[in-house]
Amino acid sequence: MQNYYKAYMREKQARDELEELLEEKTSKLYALNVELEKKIEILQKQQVAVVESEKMATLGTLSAGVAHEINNPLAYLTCNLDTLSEYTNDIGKYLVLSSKLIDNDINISEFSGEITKLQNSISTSDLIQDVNDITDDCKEGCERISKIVANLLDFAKPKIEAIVEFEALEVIEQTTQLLENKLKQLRVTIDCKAELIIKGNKSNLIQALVNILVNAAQSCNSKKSTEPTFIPKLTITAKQEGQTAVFEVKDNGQGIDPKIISRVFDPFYSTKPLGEGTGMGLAVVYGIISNHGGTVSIDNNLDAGATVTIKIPLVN
Amino acid sequence: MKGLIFRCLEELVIEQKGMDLWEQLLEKHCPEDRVYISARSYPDEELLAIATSVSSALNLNMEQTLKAFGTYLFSFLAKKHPAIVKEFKNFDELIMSIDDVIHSEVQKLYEEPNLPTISAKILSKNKIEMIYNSPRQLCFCAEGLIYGCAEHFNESVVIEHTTCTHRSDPVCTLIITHG
Repeated sequence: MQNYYKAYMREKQARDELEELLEEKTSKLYALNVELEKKIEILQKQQVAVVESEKMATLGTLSAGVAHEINNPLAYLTCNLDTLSEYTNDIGKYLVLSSKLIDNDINISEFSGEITKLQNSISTSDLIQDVNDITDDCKEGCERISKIVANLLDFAKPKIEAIVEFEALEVIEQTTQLLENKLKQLRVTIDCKAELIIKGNKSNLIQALVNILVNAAQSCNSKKSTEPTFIPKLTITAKQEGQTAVFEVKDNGQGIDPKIISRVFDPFYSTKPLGEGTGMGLAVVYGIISNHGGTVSIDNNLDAGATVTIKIPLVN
Repeated sequence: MKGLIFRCLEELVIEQKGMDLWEQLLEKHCPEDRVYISARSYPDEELLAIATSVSSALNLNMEQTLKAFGTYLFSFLAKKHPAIVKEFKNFDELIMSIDDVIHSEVQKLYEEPNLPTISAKILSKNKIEMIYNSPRQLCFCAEGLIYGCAEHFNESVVIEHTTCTHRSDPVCTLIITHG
């Protein structure tokens, strides 16, 4: 019995020692885990900072094109306002006459005579039609500028509630509008499934698509510079595959050297001359899509150019 | 319930009544070849069944048994984790830190420990109000732990159990007078 008790005590001591060891290791593991979580938090903050700085860099690239896009409607707005100013004088003459009649400074026959004279130089029907046309043009110009500015703001300064639900088409349209100037030389086709609802950070997804489209446009423009007869084409599609939204950006540009295709998502990797690219464009795309629980891949097309495929899980 | 509690009960039973009783209890209430390991979880029913048998072996009612077990449990835990207990200078400091310090240390060591919710506030210099809430309803064990803690700090303690879930109150309230 004594031996049995001794054996039990030995076994108990072994359990105690092993448990002590286990607790020591668990405590260390816990401390390491806390440290790791802190590092992940720092990394996430740094990632946000990288996305923001890349966004600012993109804004710099976009600024010339956006300025041009705003300048066009501004030009005809200015021209139309000049014309309206001239018409104001003419309208003023009619109003002065009407005023004189109301105040009995002239009688009706004098008024009629003056009106006939004015009609000979300025037709009232033309005046009314022109003023209407000019007003419509001005309104359309202001709306265009307003849309460009709104898109720019949406891109540069996202709303506080960053995670929202929106249609895939909105992202594609806002991106192509922002890049209107850069995509002018390309035949752009958009094929997007209606009511394809995505949940995420809209501004960041626009940023991702901007980076992809800018690369595609540059690839096409490079090819165009060596082959003048080349017709650059860009197809943007968005479709649903099961519970996933699939975006494809297909261009017929130069494509990517197979030797470097596996590195294009690496941070600071750039094929552009020194000082021209940050090397963060596709790395930022990778980060943004990963944050949406999705994947991004790039492949050369069999015929020409490359296709970037983005897959994002859909909202249930 | 974590194996740590079973191990404490095992130690108490063997120390007080010998290995035979412990073996009998295991054979009666547990699956064959049961060995308790602190970090593992075991069914609450096993603890309750063993505790019921222990209370009849000791000729105590369940309330007294759980209090005695709680008192023993404190010294068992203090022996196993001396560094945690050393953090506290006195009785009330430890009682006031159960949720913030002790339970958070337990969370670090054990997965899903299913700890009770305990809040405490100082009513006067020597009086603390503790609210105990747990679906396991082990408030008498909690009382025993407080007695064990008082013993550790060489204090005398009186506990009034003013509300109790066993009497259909929503929570248990323990008024602790120490000094």
